[in-house]
Parts: sequence; structure tokens; C-alpha cells
Amino acid sequence: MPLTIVCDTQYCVDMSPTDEPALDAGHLQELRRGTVVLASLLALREPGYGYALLEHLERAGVDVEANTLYPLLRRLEGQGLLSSEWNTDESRPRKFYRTSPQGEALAERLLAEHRRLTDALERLAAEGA
Amino acid sequence: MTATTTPTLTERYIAAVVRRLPEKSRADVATELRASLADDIEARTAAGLAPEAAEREALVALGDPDRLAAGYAGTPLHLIGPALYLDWRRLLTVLLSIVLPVTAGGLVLARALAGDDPGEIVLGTAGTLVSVAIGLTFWVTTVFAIIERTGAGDRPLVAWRPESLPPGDGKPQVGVDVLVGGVLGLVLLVALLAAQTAWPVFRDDDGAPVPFLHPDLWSFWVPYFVVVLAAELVFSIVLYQRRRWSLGLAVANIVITLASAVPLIALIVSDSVVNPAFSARLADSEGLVTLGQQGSVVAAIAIGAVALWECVDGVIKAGRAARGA
Repeated sequence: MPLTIVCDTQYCVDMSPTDEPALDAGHLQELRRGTVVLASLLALREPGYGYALLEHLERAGVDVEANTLYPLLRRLEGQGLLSSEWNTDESRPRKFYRTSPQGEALAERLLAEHRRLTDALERLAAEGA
Repeated sequence: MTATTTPTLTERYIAAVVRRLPEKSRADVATELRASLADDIEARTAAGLAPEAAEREALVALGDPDRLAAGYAGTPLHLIGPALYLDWRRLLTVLLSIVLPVTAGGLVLARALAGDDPGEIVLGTAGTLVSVAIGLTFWVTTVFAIIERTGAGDRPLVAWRPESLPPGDGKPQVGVDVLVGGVLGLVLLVALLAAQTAWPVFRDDDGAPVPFLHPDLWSFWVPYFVVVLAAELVFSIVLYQRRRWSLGLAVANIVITLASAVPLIALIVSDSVVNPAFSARLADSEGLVTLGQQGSVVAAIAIGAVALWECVDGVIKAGRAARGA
């Protein structure tokens, strides 16, 4: 069960089930903020619909709330980073999202920035050791 | 879906979400949300929950439909955001600090001249001030809430620049006590004028109140002092707005101080302040006879000393402000 949801103007990140003190939780939330966009753009290189993406991200270790992810998908679609298509073949009509070329390009830049930051942090961590 | 007379919880939830959204995106969001909820409910039922409990849990997980709708529509969930908050607070502070003292001074004066009794003046003025403050706050807040929702709410209205820094050590030279002092003169005069008929110390043989002030003062000096004290109120508001003294303000301070102190001392020394009828009644009361004469000398000296200090004080503070101290 998710315990705390911390929100900013962009989206909410699930701060779930650990027993971290509240102070840690706030800082971790700051660190995780922004990764949901990147995770979604990467995961949706294979087309997927809302609920399936939620489960996919959860299995991959990215915790995100449904009420954050669903509006986020529409916002990314509006920005041209995702394209969408209705699939009515099955009993339930589902909206499939897919990362657009523009979205893939952004995902690459975000991933590069994430790696750069990780490297920088690793170097700083090594300096003190 | 089977035909039912009462919509399911899910359908009620979806309706609550999409009613907040633009017409053109409603059907699309509703269909997608319906499938997502059905998937979630199915997964929870498969995990062993009863269908009703699964539906409840799925809806609780999605949370307040208005919050979800705001996420879809991208509307803010606050009245005034961090970008505009400081503009809002500054504008409101400036407006209230100008409008409220001016309104208070005007109301007290108007009601006193209309002959209201002091209790009425205080209560009536306080009541009006509360409504003015509430109204002003309401409209300023409404305008800012609209700005927040028109897309201009992502940056401050007034960009900050280093020139906006307060001079010197950043502590304003002038506090809110200046405003209190500015209103005080006017309030005291009006209170005196009202009190001498409302709560007379003495009554004549017909029972009419014996006013404390000399009746001749009404032809010129009472209106004169009202004007001078009003000028002092305006001066204190300007000074409070600027937060620092300047040479111009020091000069204005001297002019206004002398304009009130010199005639007041002259009137006291020439014994033209107190109503002779009042003095006569006072003289009838035992032990207070000589207090009138000595008292007027003491009062004249005290007024002179305070006025002199006020003039010097303004000049000293203007000098300090000029040196940036």
C-alpha cells in the first residue's frame, strides 16, 4: 500500500512502502522527480496502454501512481512526445501510446543527462572515500 | 455493459472526472479511464477480492476525481502559486496601508462633523474598515487567481532586480508607528471636539454642556488644525511608503510641525484655547484655580520642546539615510 504521495506541479511520485524517516522521504522524492517521464518514454518504445504501462514500470522498479501516470501520458501526447492509437480489436477499447521520434530523441537526451549526473555523483562519492 | 437504472460507482466516478474537462476530450478520456479501471478491477478480483471491494479499491487508488481532472486539464490546484505570491502580498500590503488609514481619517472626521457620539464613531468606523479590508483583499486575490489561470502565472509580474534592494542595512528606517502617529493627531482633535458636547465636564444652569474649547476658535482655528493634521496624516503615509527619510521629507516635516506648534503655543499663551465659561466653572471647583495658568505655561513649553525635537529628528534621520547608514 502506498503511504505517502508527494506532489509538485508536474506529477506525483509514489513514496511507498519503506520505513524511511520523513526527512529521507522528502529528499528521495526530490531525486526521483523527473524519472517517470524518462521511464515512460523508454518503456513506450514498445506500444502500450495505461494500465499495462503502470504494471510494466512497477515490474521495472519505477513506482508511480495511476493518477499521476494517466494524465502524464496525455500531457506527453499533447507535447508530441507520444503518439496514440485506439485499438478496438479486443472486448475493451484501449488507447495505445507509442514514443514518437521526437519523444525518442528527448529520451536519449534525458538518459545522457541522467548518466552524466550518475557519473558525477560516483566521482564525488569516490573522492571522499 | 448491462442496462441498469442506477449507474455503477465506476460510471459515477468517470462522469465526475470528465465533467471538469473540455467538451472535446471528454469521450476520449472517459473511454480510456473506463478500460483502465476495468483492467485494475479485474486484476484485484483475480487476486481474490469480491467485485464490489475490488471496484472500491480501484477508485480509492485513483483518488479524488477533481484532482485527477485537474491533472488531465493541467489546471493548478492552488489559488495563487509561488511565482505570483510575493506580488500579491506586496500589492495587498501597499493598498491596505494606504486605503485603511485614509478611510479611517475621513470617516472619523465626517462622522464627528455630523455630530455622531464617540461610541458610534468608533464602532461605525471599525465596521467600515473591516468591510473595506475584506473587499480589497477579495478583489486583489480574485484578480491574481485569474492571472494564475491565464498562463501568466508561471513567472512574477514584476521581475526582481538588484536595484530593488532596500538601501543601507535593509532595515526600513520607518515603521508602522509613523502611521499611528499620523492618525493620532486627527483622532485626538476629533475626540476632543466630540467629547466636549457628548460628555461635558460642566453644564450651565439650563443643563446645556459647557464646551472646553473657546467658542471663537470655530471661526478659523478648528478648521485650520483639521487641515494641518490631515496634512500630517498624508505626510506620514508618504513617509511610511518610502520607508526612509529624505531632505524633502525633513523640510516638509518642519513646515507641518511648525504650522501646528506655533499657532497652538500662541493660542495657549494668549489664553485663547479654553472657553472662559469653562475656566469660570473650573475656578468654582476648589483647588484647581491656579492649575489653569501654570498648566498652560507647562503645556506651551512641552509642545515647543516636542515640536523642536520632531524637526531635529527628521533632519538627523534624513542625514543618516543620505549616508546610507
